[in-house]
Amino acid sequence: PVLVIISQEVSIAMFALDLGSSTNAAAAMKKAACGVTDARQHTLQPTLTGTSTLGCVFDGGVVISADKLGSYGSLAKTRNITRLFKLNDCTVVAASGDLADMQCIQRALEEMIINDTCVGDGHVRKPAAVHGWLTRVLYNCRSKFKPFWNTFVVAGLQDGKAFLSYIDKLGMSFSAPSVSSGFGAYLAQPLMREAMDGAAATGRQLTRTEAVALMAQCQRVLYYRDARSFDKYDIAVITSAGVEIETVDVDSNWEVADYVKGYI
Amino acid sequence: MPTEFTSLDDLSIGLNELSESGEKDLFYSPVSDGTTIIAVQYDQGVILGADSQTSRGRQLVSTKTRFKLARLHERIFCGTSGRCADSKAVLEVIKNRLHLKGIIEDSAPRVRVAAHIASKLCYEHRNNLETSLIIGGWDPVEGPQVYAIPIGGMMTQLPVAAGGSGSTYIYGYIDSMYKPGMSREECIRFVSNCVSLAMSRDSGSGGVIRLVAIDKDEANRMVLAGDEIPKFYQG
Repeated sequence: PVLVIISQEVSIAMFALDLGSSTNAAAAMKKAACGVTDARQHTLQPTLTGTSTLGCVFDGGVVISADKLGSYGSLAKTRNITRLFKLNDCTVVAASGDLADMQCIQRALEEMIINDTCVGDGHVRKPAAVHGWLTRVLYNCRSKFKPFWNTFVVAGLQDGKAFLSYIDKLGMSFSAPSVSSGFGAYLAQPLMREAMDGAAATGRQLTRTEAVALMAQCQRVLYYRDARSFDKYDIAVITSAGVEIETVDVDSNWEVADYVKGYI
Repeated sequence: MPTEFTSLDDLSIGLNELSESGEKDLFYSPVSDGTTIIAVQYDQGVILGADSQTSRGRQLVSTKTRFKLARLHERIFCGTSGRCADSKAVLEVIKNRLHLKGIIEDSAPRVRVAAHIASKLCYEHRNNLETSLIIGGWDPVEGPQVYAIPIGGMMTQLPVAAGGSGSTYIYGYIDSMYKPGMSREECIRFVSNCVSLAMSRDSGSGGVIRLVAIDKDEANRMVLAGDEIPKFYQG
């Protein structure tokens, strides 16, 4: 049984191989689609890592955000990492977890997009396609005990409708109106759901302004409570007008410190 | 703890005894660069700095004047930290691939290409390698650039990058003293100060300060030894 593959090079590779063997097909898919050989080793432990990524849907699009920190254990090693990458005018992917694995996937995805452009048939790789590809690759690699140690969030517009999904290193994936990875799942997800449920109670979705403000609030909470976070983050807003990515500083309020007097 | 080994039996005795600081791996840990490497990019070029000590475990200094800033190409140098053997193996491969690329493309190889080759190599063999690199250089296309490739194989471009065990002691100094727009002399002083401070606190770093100043016209190697090393509060 052959997995549904989106990538063009992979379909060529599969014709060239014995299609009866699914391991060959899987290996070819991994090789052709990832652009790396089987020499890629097992990521047994992540080294340079990124923390949470957050995403939520609003009326007319999707917004996702990720901070700009690469942590080397507890050391805040590199503070200008961009964990969000725009693939085309309707898809943005964000990653948390091991950043070297993120770069490998990012290069493979960008290569796919360049191939799309070269083919030039007007076809634009949509978020559901990217989501499907990522899920299969991550699941496949994990099944060989060579996981990509990441959690990806794919966001965009699929046929005009907002698309937001989450894929973790085991290849488990789902779509939801709000997603978050890492610490965000504990701290930010409840805040996002509360805001979205509040809007739903009055029969509407969040507006773009509300969604961006929600992201800012969640990133602020994460900055306060996640030790491995940073006060600068990238935020991407995807609407029918395209993708806008900008870098924002967290607006933190420490006035409460004056009121804490200690015990003595 | 035996101080002289006359036979293999003596060596195996040495294995079981702890060093004064309680480390078991006194003589048998892999030869590793307890290291400080740092690179800074300025307007016209790049300054790379490193210490010169190689240790086994954290106690025995096996080489005290090693040259850690490897020359990948005329204007591209690479500082390595982590396991020595891994660093050397990786450097050989990068140098060969870079040289080949230069021949194929019939032009000076770009620093970004060198960093990419290094990152790909480190990533594909990440479970067997324990080496982190800082590549700095100048090329006619993008000018001066510094790339950091920590363990794991991720590649990122930075204006100032530090690596190795000694680097943890100087992140504060780097954050407070680095300013964009420094001149070549200020950068050299900044790098020498960084390495000196790291060397004085990190047992894995020491020896002399080696510098390489790369710009359009030359790659100048310098050494600061003994009294030339900047002095700070020693308590």
